[in-house]
Amino acid sequence: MLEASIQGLLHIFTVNSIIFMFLGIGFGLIIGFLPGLGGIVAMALILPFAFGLSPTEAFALLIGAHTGTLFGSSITSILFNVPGAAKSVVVCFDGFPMTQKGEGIRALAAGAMASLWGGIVGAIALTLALPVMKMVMLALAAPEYFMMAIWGLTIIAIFSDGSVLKGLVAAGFGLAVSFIGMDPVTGTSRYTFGISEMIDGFDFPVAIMGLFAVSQMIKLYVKGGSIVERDIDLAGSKTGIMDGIKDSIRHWRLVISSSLLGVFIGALPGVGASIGSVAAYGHAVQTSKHPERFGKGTVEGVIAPEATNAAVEGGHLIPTLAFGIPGSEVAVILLAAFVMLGIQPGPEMLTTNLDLVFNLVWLIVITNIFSTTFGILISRRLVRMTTLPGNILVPIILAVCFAGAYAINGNIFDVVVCVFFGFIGYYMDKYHYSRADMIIGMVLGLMIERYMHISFTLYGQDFLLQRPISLGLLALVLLSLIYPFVRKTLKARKQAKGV
Amino acid sequence: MSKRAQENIIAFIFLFFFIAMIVISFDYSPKARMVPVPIAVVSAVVMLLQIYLMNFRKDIELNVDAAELLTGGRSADSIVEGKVHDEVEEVKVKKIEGGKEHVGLLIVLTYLVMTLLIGIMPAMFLFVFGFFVWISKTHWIKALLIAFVTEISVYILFIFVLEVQFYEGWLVKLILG
Repeated sequence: MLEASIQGLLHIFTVNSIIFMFLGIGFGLIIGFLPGLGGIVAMALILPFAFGLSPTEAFALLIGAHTGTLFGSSITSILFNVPGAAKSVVVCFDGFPMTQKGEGIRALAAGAMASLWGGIVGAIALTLALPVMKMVMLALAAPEYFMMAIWGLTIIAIFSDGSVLKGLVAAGFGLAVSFIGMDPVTGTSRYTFGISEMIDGFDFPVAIMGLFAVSQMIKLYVKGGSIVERDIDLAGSKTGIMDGIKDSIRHWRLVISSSLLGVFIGALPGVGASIGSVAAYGHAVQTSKHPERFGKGTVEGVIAPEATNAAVEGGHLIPTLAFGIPGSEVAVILLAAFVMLGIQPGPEMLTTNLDLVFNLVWLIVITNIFSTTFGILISRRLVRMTTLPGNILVPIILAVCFAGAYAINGNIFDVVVCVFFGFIGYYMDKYHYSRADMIIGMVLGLMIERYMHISFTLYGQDFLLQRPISLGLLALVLLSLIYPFVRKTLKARKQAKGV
Repeated sequence: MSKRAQENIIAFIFLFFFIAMIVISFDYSPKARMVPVPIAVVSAVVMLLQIYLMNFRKDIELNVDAAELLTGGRSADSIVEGKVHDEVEEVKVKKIEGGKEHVGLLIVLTYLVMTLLIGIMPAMFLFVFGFFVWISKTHWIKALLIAFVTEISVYILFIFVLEVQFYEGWLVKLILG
């Protein structure tokens, strides 16, 4: 095993592999910058170029591109509230408020470092988990996935900006929007009003772009000034980088637990990275000493989803390599690359091609190191963009958003949807209906419905009682709901005693 | 219009949405409406509760917090939020005046209509140029340059690198067939 690990590492340190890795990272950063286009787009576009390359060169190119998009999309999420990819949307929740407070550089550095730690933990977990993951995967079924989605909904109260009721309404609205389109069980076209473009529902990245980016630009125009209403020198301060790096080390427990959560969620087939980042955020809130600061610009709110997003990559590779089952859309592209290169994923991969498995593990680590270093180096310059007046940013960001919304599916209807959600997002923000809650509802809606139907079909109406793991998860959900109230009451009593 | 009236309008729009969803759902099979209907019902009930609290409990703030009502007093969230706001206010620098809300919405809507009529690339050029000239009050040569650079950047990234075939617009289709 050690020999295979060393061999895997040596494969990377060839001139060709290094060149392809840097090309991939650079390409990924650019794609990550463009709103709505995530790692899947970067890898799909770069896949044809992998044809004819050796497996190690091809993996360097593909993994490099994907890792690059992670940081690229985080930059726009933190600085402009424009999520580059669906899984980066959670980074906006605290990253953008940090930027508004003049701590954008700290947020970028903390996010980049958390991403690096997450990538490393993900790679280590991938190495260790391969032999035991099969058992875990077989132990979980639809009822457990259903309960995990329900658990995701429990973090709604965090974003409710004072009004829990409005937060619940926003989440209900998000869930309702996720039901628009074809019903996954019966195939019924629901709430589409005969519009054929709506049969597949609203495209998630398009809706996010509208809700966050377009609405933010309208708000910026109305408000005037710039994103950061602080002194330019303060926004680009040198200390921010070190603060961000220190933050990621100070919150090492959060980094490790979020990364492990990412690996676990990544290993579950069909559970996307966006759900992973939502879960990580919820976990960060529930374990934080200051949950009331979340959503208002706390660094823990950036660290947790960034670590998870990076670790998910290692997780996705577990079922892909071990069983040939892609854990995500990105893993599908990787699987296609395996086939193209004549490699058969599955149990054999762990015996005959173990050096290639370790090559992938090392690539995750090394590409993360390079993209983090590069990200930190350019962060000071990037943050200065947020001090530009809105009158300069608004037309350019709107133009890129329109182009990005169209480019996702090549459908002009998506641009209309983007604007529609932009207006909804603007008014939701104005009247304090949390957009974050709406997004959580949209992410989890279909998952809840799909796994509830499967659970009913397979286990009947009392499916929860038949599955001990589900019951355990249900207890966890109830604890998550009760705990904040208990803590609040205890805190109030403590304060009353103090007075 | 008062803030309370505005809040009520938004709340009733949400309520209408959830009720409409419930009504429409009865056209679908029981399986297809099994999840959406309970969610719409719960959301509508929550919305009604919010409307009731907003209008009949005038002693509380508009953004009423259910947890606050249960525990009494001001929530920790609002205290922290207030502090953050104060900190930002202290270091605020010279502010550029903003525009009116309806103008902001109209600008985005105009850009959308332009995109639908003449296509993504020409609309982008005209929008960026127009915005800089009329809204940002930039000199037209500088505005032209910015619009040109934006156009070229988007062209390189989307058309050249990503090979996206951009939408050409209804008018272009109508004229060229």
